[in-house]
Amino acid sequence: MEWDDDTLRRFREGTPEVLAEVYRAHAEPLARLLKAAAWRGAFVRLRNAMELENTLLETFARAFEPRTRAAYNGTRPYAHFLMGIARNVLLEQSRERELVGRDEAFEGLTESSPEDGGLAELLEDREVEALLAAFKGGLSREEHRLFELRFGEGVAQEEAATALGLTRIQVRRREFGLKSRLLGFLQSKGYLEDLETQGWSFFKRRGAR
Amino acid sequence: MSGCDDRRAKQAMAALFEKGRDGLDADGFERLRAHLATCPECQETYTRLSRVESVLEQRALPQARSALLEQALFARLQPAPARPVVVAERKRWFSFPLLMPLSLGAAAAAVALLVVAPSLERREQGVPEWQARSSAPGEGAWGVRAFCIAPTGTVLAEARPGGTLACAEGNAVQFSYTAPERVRLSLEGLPQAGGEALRFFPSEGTAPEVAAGVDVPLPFSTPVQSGWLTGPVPVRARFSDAQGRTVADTQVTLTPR
Repeated sequence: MEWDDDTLRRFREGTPEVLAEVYRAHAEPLARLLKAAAWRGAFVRLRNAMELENTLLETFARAFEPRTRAAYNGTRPYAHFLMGIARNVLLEQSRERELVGRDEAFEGLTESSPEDGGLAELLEDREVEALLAAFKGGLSREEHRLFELRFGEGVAQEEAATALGLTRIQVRRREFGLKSRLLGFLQSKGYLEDLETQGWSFFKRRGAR
Repeated sequence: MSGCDDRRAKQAMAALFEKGRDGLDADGFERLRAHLATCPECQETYTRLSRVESVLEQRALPQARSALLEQALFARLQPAPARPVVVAERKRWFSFPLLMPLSLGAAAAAVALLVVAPSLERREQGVPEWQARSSAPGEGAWGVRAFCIAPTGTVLAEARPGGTLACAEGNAVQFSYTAPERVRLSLEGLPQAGGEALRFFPSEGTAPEVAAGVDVPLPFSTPVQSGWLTGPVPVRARFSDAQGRTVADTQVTLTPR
């Protein structure tokens, strides 16, 4: 995003629209950086989605505090500014966990090289990709096309509806059906086997088709 | 791994996966996050579902989760009406940007004049440096004092540990602490009329470490406005060590003038 004088002024004033714009422009790149760091062996706890999201939330909450907003000059890349805050958040969290004797923050830091971490992530992604490919193999032609449009190409529902000759509501319903079946499929293949405990009736109801 | 029987959490995760942001509202997301914080099994499931979404969307942070996090972020940034330490209120009190540091400086200087000077005087009288600021000098080394400060920076009133500070609307409350060693400090007010606890320091998060010192002013004042000080508010100052154990506990009561 562009940091002109007006944007910087409104950012410093805490204008919600500008804060939202900053969040949307930087949340994904920051998540990507943190995840990459986690898979390289630093802050491995960030491989846990909840931990990653908590760190993102805390980082942006601090970044949007009035004093922190005032400290940003609009010249330095905001991503760097944000990463500095994220680093502080992570180190504080690590210190807190260490103090109470349950620190796992740097686990793997000495055991894994960056290549090892990258490979582990790649292997996990490959596993998911293989499952998705298998799932798509069982779809009808129309379902496959919808799946590709919505999830492969990231086309909006409206556009997907036009391309498939459906209404947006129909696309929405079919998409929901596909996701439900995917959930059941992942369950049947053991990817989500930990879910197979008492109470997971929503999976058992649907199952893999 | 032991099974988790929280069906609502599981349904929430499934709904988030199946319907994206339409599957979960902000409250539902907060409830799910609260459950995840205490349930490693569901954390694992949440992570696995996130990974599938990430691969599908080619994103590190799936869009639905990003949107819900955005809502959570703005809910957190939103000042609660009864909380005294909020950005908007401070901004209103120090309405002129340039005046803010000046006003803070003036407040801190006023506190320093009133507080540091007497502390030097006491030392000359032979009172040990770390035992000058309690309600009963010579008995306590830890303490928090409160000051009522006018917008001009003039100190209108003060209260020692165990005392009461009366402060009128339009002025600000400033705290200072005395600690003989580096320690974690938190100040929390508990309105006797009930309602949400008022966090004076820190405004968010866990108690931060503060340096050792005598009558060290906290970095900001709290404006008395928006009706948070309509009755007695006992403010508990808790000094704790790195392990979270309480080192000292003291109280000052704030009342409206």
